[in-house]
Amino acid sequence: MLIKLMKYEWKATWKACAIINFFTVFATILGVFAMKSLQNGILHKDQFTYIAVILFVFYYLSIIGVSFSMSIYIGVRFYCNLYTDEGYLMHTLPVTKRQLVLSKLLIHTVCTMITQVLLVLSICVMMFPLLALLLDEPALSVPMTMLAKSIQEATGAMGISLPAFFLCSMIAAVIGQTSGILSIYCAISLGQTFHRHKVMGSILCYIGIYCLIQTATTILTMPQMYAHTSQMESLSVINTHASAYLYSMLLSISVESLFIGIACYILTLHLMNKKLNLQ
Amino acid sequence: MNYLLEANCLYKRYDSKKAPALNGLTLNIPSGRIVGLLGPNGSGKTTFIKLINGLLTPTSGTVTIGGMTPGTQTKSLISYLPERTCLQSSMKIEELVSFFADFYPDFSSEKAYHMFSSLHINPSDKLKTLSKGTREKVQLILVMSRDAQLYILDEPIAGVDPAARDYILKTIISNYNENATILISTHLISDIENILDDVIFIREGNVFLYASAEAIREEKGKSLDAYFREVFTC
Repeated sequence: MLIKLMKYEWKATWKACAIINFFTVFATILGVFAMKSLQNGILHKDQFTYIAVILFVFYYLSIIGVSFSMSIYIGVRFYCNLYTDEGYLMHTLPVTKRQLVLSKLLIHTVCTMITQVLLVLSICVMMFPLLALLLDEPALSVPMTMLAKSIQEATGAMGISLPAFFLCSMIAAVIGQTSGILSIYCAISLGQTFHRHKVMGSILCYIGIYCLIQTATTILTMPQMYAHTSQMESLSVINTHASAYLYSMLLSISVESLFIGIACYILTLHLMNKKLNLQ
Repeated sequence: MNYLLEANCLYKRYDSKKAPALNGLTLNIPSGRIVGLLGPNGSGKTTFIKLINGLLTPTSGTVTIGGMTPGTQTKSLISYLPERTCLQSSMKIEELVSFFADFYPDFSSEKAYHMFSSLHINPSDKLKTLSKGTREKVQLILVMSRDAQLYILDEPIAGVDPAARDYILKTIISNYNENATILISTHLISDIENILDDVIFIREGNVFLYASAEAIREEKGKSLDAYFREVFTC
């Protein structure tokens, strides 16, 4: 039943996901095209700073907008499908509440990860023409080689294995995204316990959960940050401690996200099983 | 006697400042009956139906279907038609048929397509392109294409024209398993009273009367509709 639910969730979600991701691709193509125009001297040099700032702001807003749109879409889809008229069908299917939540969670995580990966790729694609422009190099291979060399030197000096660090970052990103989605589900489910103004209640609950997560993150990471910075008094030990610091931060944030995600998941299921009141 | 549906001291309060929607409702419904759940607005009919389907949590009391509290197993026994359109409007009718066939093993696609054909409904149409009445017909056809043990129909004929009502009632009668029970909630008593075996009158969240339709007609010497108007006169 979980696979069937996932199939229908994907069918309902992929179009919105594609539209949001199309916007990323469009913004990137536009940005690269504009920078190539600058590089080829189509635009006057005096206009460079002005256009570059506009471009940067537009691109920055696009990236924020894409991430935000995805979160909004996930929230709206979860709310509409489970707590409005469509909920009358979904909650009367012979499936468990766990299957309902899991099917959405898995599909929404995949959609979010696709969006995030595209955003990272977009930043990379934008970075190379920008570097080429700043270095006044016509070939993109020059900044690419430079960046690769810099990353290699930095990771080598810190004693970090690049593939291992990439893998750890990816795992942390998946845990973080999943936890974020679960906090949206939890806020929406908590909002349904309000007698009136359920949507407003959900938004307030989300703000509350967000503040709680930020406070917990600060409390958890600040001692580590102080501990590491105090050990980094001497420049000679920065490199060795930086590696340990990066890994410990990744680990603590992932563990925290994992706990928050599990708590939100349990609370969402509890509310659906024991407090469901479709009106 | 084993009852298909049992409600025991069912109590549901939405707002602590207002009267409860259900106030200790107790009733038992056997298999193989067509039961009319009748009552004025706000009497608790829809609340009771939602509690049977697990869409609401009771404040206190219990409801069981085939001896089980509402859950995954009872949902495979019940075919529920809500009072509102619960289908995803972006889906085509044929996609909805596949959806029902995927989740309900007792769903007959053949039966559904046959009914769509007789009502001249094109299965490749998207639900959002259809009129409100046609959407309700689509929903009813999907619900009645199951071979369930308990059909719960909340206002099945409220949104359609009188001509379509006859077709819908015919659809209900001709498409249910005789061992199954149909629970119909409606205000349009005169339209459905001829098909009812039993009648439940609900008033202020409790059972006012539960008797066979024939017995009421004989005892009171009037139609169910006339008796309903007499009982619930404002």
